[in-house]
Amino acid sequence: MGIQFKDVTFRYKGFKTSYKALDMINLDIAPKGEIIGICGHTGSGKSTLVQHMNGLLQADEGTVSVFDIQLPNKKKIKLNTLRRRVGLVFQFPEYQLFEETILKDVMFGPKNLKMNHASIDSISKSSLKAVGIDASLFDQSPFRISGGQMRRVAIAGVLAMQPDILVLDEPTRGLDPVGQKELMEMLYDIHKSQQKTLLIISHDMDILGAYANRIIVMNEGEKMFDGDKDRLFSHPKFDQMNLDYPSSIKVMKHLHKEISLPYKLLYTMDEVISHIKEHIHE
Amino acid sequence: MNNMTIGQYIPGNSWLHQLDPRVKMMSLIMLLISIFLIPIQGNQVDLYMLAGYLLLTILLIMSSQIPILKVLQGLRPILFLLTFTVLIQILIVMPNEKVALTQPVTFYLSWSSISALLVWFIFYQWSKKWVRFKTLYFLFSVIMVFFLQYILPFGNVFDYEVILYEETVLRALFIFFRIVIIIMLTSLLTFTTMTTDINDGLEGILLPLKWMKVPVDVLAMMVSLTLRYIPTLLIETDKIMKAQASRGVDFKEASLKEKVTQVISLLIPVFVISFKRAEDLANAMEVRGYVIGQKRTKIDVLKIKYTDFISLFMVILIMSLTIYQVFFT
Repeated sequence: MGIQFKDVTFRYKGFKTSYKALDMINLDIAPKGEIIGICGHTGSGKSTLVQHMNGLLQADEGTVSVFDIQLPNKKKIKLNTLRRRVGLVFQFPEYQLFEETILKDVMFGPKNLKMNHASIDSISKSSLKAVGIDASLFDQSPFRISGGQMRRVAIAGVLAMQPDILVLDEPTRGLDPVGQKELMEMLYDIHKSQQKTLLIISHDMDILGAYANRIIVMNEGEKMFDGDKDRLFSHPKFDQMNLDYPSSIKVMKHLHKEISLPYKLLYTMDEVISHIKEHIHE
Repeated sequence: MNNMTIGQYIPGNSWLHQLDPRVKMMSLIMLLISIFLIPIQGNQVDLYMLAGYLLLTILLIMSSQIPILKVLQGLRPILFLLTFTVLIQILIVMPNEKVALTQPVTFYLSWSSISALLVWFIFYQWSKKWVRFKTLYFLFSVIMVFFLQYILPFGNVFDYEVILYEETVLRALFIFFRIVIIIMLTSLLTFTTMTTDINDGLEGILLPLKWMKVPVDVLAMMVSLTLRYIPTLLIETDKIMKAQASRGVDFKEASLKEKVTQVISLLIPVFVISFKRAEDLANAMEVRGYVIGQKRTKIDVLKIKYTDFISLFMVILIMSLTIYQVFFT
C-alpha cells in the first residue's frame, strides 16, 4: 500500500542526448502518518521523483506502484483515480488558479473527479476553511487576494479532492517568514487531524527539521539518504551531502563548542531556549 | 510538449551554418522568386530548369550536413496540400493540347463504392496508429480510394471519366516539385540559422526601410522577444498542464462541455503568466538602459566574408540565368 518505487529510472530525452533524472530509485511511502521531507540541490531530481507519484511521468525502467496500481501499465488505467489519491501541489501553485470565484476554483478538482454535487460544495468549503480562508472571501475573484492567500486557495483546490497522500513542491517558496510559518502550521494541522501522509520538497532545513519525521536526500538523480531525521543530522557523512543544518542545531553546536552545553538534537528554537534555561539553572 | 521546437535550429559547422544570415535570407528570397518565375506550362526547358533547382537544393542539403530525412520530415505538414493539388491538377484542370497518355478510365460513385469508402476511411483512422510509415500509408490510402471507386460499379449513382493527359501530368509534377523545393529551401534556412541570427538578418535586410521612418530596430526587437519567449511559454504551459492534470483534468475522457472548461483552465493561467512576464521583462530592459528608438550597439557585428560574396554572386548568377531563359528566349 502507499507508494512504492522499484528500481525506477527516468530519462529526459533531448534531440540527440538524454539526461538521467532518476537513477535506480527504491522507495516506500506509507499511506498514513508520515511527514517526509525531500531535499537536494536544484536539478537533483526532486520534482521528477514527485511527478512519478501521480502518474504525470512514468518510469522508463522499473515500476512505481501507487495504491496497488502499477505504473507503467500495459492496460489502460484511469490516471484520475490515481490523482484523486495522491494530491500534487506544484511550485507556485497560485498560477494554476483560473475561475471567477475562489470557491469555484476549489470545486474544479472534485468536479473533474465526478464526485456528487452536494458533497462537492461542502468539501470545497471545508477545505477552504482548513487552509484558513474566510467564508467572506469565497465569492471573490482569486486574482484579487494576496499571494499567500492565493497559495492557500490553490492548496485547498488539491485538498478538496481528498487525497490520501499530499505532495507539495516547495510550498513555502517566495512567502515571507510569517506566511511560511503559518502555511506549515496549517499543513501540520491537516496532517494531525486527518493522518494524511505529507511529502514536502523544501530547501529550508529549518522547516524540514521542525516538521518532517523522515527525510530523503536526492543527489544527481540518486537517493543519497532516506531515513529518520535524527539519523540524518547525526550522519557522519552529512558534510558531503551539500546540506545545511537547521539553525537550532547550529546554535546547539556553537553553544556546545563555546560553553560546553550538553549537545542534543533539537529542531525548534523554543526547544533550544528551554534546553538552555534548564542547563544554565543547574 | 517538450519535443516542440520552433525554428528547429540544428547545430552544425558547415559553410551554410557560417554564412551571413543576411546573405542567406537574401539568397533564399532570390531563389524563391526565380523558382516562381519559371512558367508552369510544362515546356521541356522549364522542366530542366526545375530539375536543376531540385539538384541545387539537394546539393545544398548535402553540404549542410543535415540529415536529408530531417528535411523531408518538414514536408509532412503539407502532405495534404501536396496530394490535393496534384489530384486537382490531374482530375479537374483541362489541358490545351489533348495528348492522352491513357485510355479513359471510369470511376463510379455507387452505393457499393461509397460504403466501401466509408469502411476504408474508418479502417484507416483506426489502423494508422500501428503503421510505422504513416506518410506512405496515407498515400496508399489515397490510391485505395480511387481503386475502390474503380472496381465497385454496383448500384451506380454517379460516374466520371478520367483521362491522363501529358500536359496535366507534367503540370502536376511541376507544381509538386515546386512546392517541395520551396519547403526544403526554407527549412534549410531555419535548420542552419539560429533564431537570433534570423532576427539580425531580418534587421539587416529591412534597414533600407529606416529611411522611410519605419522603426526597424523596434520591430526586430519585438520579433526577437517573441521568438525568445516561445520556449519559455511552452515550459510554463507544460507546468500548468501538469498542475491541472493533478487536479483531475483529463482531455481524453471529457465531454465537449468539460473540455471547454479544461481549455480555459489552461488558457487563463498562461495569459496571467505571460502578462506578468511581460511586465517583468519591460522593467528589466528599462533597468538595463533600453530606450525605444535609441541607437544600440551589438556584441556580434555581422561582417560579410569571402564565402558570403561568392554565394551571393552565385545566387545572382542563377537568378539572372533564369530570368534570361524565361523572358528573353
